[in-house]
Formats: sequence, C-alpha cells, structure tokens
Amino acid sequence: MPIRAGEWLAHGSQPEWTMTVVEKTQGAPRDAGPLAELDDHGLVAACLAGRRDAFDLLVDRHKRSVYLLCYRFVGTHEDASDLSQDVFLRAYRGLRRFRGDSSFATWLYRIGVNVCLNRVSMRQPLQRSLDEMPNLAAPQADPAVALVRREEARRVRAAVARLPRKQRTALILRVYHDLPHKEIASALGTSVGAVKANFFHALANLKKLLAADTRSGS
Amino acid sequence: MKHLSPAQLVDVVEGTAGDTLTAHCAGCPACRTKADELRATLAVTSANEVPEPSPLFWDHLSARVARAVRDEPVPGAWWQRWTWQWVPLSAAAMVLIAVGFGVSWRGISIVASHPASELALGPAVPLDGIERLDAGESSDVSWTLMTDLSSTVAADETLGAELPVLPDAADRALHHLTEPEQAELIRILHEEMGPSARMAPRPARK
Repeated sequence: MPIRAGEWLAHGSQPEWTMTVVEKTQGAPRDAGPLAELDDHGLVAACLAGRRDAFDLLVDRHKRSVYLLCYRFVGTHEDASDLSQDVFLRAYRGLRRFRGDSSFATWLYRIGVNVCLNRVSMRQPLQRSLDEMPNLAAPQADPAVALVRREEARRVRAAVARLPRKQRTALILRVYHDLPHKEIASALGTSVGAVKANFFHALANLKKLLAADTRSGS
Repeated sequence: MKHLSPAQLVDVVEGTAGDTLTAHCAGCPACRTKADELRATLAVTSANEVPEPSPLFWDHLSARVARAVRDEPVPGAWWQRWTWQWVPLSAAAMVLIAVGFGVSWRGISIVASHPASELALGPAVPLDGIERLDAGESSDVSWTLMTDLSSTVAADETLGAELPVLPDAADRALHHLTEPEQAELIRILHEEMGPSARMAPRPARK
C-alpha cells in the first residue's frame, strides 16, 4: 500500500512534495495469476505452450541460485550477472529438451555449469582488489574482523578457482549449493562414485593450495 | 588392512557411512587423519560467503532476462503452440469449412438433379425442391441451417430482390462462351439429360 509522506507530518502541514513507497515487487511478476501456483514442471509446460510469462516465474524462482553458482565460478559480480543471463537464455532456447527426468533446478545447474566452465576456460577470472569487492550483506561490527574474513574468502575463492574443472564443479555444487551427490551426478552426467571421488580430491587439493598460499603469504 | 576409498571417506565425513565404515575409521589412524583433514578443509570452504548484491539487482536481472527472452522465438514445438493458441480459431475455421463444403455439395446436387431448362428459365430452384432434398439429409446440420433460412423467403420477395435468373439469362450466358466451351456445355447437357434431349448448337459469337 502506498504511504504518502504527508500522512507522517505532524500538525497537519502539507509538504510541497509527496513520496510514494511502493511495495517491493521482487518475486512473482504481476498478473501471473494461476501460473504462480504451478510447480516448475507446470511452468515449463505452460512456457512451451506459448506463455512467456511462465518463464519469468521460473527466472524469479531460480535466479538467486543461478547467480550464486556463476559467482562461484567466475568470482566477479559483473561476470556472474552476464553469465546468469546467458544461463537463462540457453535454458529458454533449450526448454523443449527438458524431459522432466530431473528437477528443473538440476537441469538449470547443468546448463549453468557448462556455461561457466566454457567462460572460465576462455579467460581467467579477474583478480579484484579488496577495495573493489562488493560489500557483504551483513556488515561486521568490527572492521578488523570483516577484513580478515574478506581476506580469507578471497584466498578460498582463489584456491577453488585453481582446482581442475570436475573437482571444482563437484565442490561448488556440493558445498555451496548443498546438492546431493546423486543430483550432482545427474547434472554432470556422471556417476555418484565419480562425484564423490572428485569431491574428495577437490578438498584434498584445496588443503594443499591453501597451505601453499599461507606459506607464500608469510 | 584395506583403507577407505575416497568415496567412503566422503561418506564418513558427511555422516552417511554405515556402521562398518565408521568403526573402521575410528580404529584406523590413517583413515581417521584423512577424515579429520577433510572436515577441516570443508569447514574453511563452507564458511566462504558470496558478497550479496544489491536488492535491486534481482529485479534488474529479471528484467534483463525478460528482455533477452522477448527477442527469442517461443521454444515449444509448433504443434504445442498450435494446441494452446489456435484451438478456438481452428475449431471455428473447421466449422466454416464444413458449412461451406456442405452448401457447395448441395448446390452440385441441385444442379445435377434438375434439367438445364429448369435452371435457365423462371425461378431456377423451387423451394419445394430444396425441401425434398433436405428430407433425406436431415442429419446434415449445415444443410438444415440453410434450408431453415431459405424456407422463410417468399418467391415474390426474391423477384423483388432480383435474385432469380432472368428468362433469357441462359441465352445471354451462352453468347459469352467460346466455341469449345459451347461444345463442352452441350456434351455435358446431353450426358445429364439423356439421349432424348436434343439441342441445336448456337451460332458462334462474332
């Protein structure tokens, strides 16, 4: 509901301007109607039948996880934003190939991983300075603690970026997206055993990389 | 002693391993050390947060994707779009085609069942003739509709509206035919009217 600044003023004086606070519309698009009640498979079917607004709802449901996945791979907001758009665009183009054997999220992860790995193989992620890094959502009360955490996060992201592709993918999907090994295997088109092995080696290599980084830093 | 495989160690670290594997890990220093190292690295890795973008970014991303998608063709197969969007239109088109086909078919039947002289002179098709045809085809909805509509039209009204064929219309129409067309028409009339009918060919148009 719009709230007008004039209603807040005491003594009945009217301002020369009014400010309208509009309710945040993030989430379902307007006039989504019964589409919003459909699950992902239903939205895919509606989209294939010509309802473009059904895809808008799918984007709203999965944009955060897709963006975070992309960020984990490329490490910059701009690249993650571009890649997220690319992931959804490819998903839209290939929507007819979605069979529904897996969840839509898993299918989207598969596209996302392919898009990200292609981008990463084309160019190395930019190494941004600490000053260029975006602010964290929850600012730390102690600036020194925040700085240490940022530095630690940068070190871990840099180490993850140096992992082999399969190990990096398994680690990102398992640790940061909490996907079960079975879904990761489905997304990557491999076996559960292979995913677990890649996850194990990813952690082992990460330990070595972080230790080497600590030694070189000191 | 056989040590745990990488996949089994992952199960132990994640707490999904069975009792046998867990017991082995507890009693095997080498496997326990590996599992502890994995847990420590996992803890460091898990704590790594992604910087949260601005709240406005999510709407911005949705808008970007929507713009990009708008330029793309609808991804579904053509028959899926056809069923969704064109069913009402297609149904209406099918009804129209059926009505048109029915009317055309009855028109051919009328022409075929009446001598050419009747078609050319006076009111071409008497209304009782239409009713006669309809009697045997009462199941045809389109034909019933046409006869219902036409049955309310009086012969005098049709004359006033200049709808019937004029008495010399056939003669004038014949004058506009070429010689081969006239010969073909005569052949058709002979075929339809039987061997008893005799028509003298008209002189060719100058």
